[in-house]
Amino acid sequence: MEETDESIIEQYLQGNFSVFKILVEKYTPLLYSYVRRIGGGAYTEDIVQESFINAWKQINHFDTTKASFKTWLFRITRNKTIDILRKKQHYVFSDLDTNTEEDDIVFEQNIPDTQDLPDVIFQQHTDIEILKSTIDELPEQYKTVLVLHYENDMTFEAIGLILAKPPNTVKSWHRRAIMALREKLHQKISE
Amino acid sequence: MENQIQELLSKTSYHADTDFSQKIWLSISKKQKQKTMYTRVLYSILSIASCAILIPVCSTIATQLQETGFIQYLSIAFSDIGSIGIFGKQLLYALGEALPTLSIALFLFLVASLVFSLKELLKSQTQRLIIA
Repeated sequence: MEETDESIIEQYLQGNFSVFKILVEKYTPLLYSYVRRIGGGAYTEDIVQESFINAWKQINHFDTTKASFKTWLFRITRNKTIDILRKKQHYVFSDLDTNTEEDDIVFEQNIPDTQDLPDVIFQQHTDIEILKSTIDELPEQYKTVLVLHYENDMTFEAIGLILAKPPNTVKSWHRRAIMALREKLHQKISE
Repeated sequence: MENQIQELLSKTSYHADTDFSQKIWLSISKKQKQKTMYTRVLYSILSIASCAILIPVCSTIATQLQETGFIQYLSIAFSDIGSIGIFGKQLLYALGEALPTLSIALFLFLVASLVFSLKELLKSQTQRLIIA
């Protein structure tokens, strides 16, 4: 039976330090892919490593009643990514959240039905690098929502905790992200 | 459509080097060992210091108990139990006044610090064995 993150943390806090390795092995691939997607580039490994060290240092303050370990770790990683990339002045995280929550709800209500993504992208000959660059072109918030929701099976509430935004804003970003992704894929295919 | 997005993301996902998680773990365990070592050094110093200060504090308390007459008051009280009933309140005040409270407080503080540092030392020793 697989141990839960919370039971691993409990063992760690009781003095069994080696169990932290299980968490490192479990989350390294997920964090690596996430950081690369949101613009970590050459600093990805440093960011992931620093995030784990931060989590290890702060594990005594981790509160299971507020969020799951996965949500908490992704939040640390996102903040670390912003910190490091801002310091390196390589990346500016644009703040999309200029709209109020009300605007988001109105926006969401006016969104047409979701259509499928262009079929051509799922064909074998489609260049992976083109697909990667299409996703890379999306704003950071959109990429975060898509990656966390579809790749890491996170709920909009959990993503909201990571981004420090209400779930309605996350849902709205999710819709916009899909629309933007579809539009960009159509553009790439027609080029 | 959800499946399509999942497929698209899995097609374009990034993969870390196979030994990357091991690298992270090594760096964390190195920091953990350093932290354990610092803790051991700190609590070793604290326990030695507590022991070293406890010795003169104990002898000071013994001297003060002699000088203030505390032991004499105590011997009077126990030599004649009846006097406790008669002069109970006065005797109690005299004992209280004769007590070197500051030295005793310092003594208790040092004992607590010694016990605490020994407990932490024992804990860090167990942690060291687990890491090893």
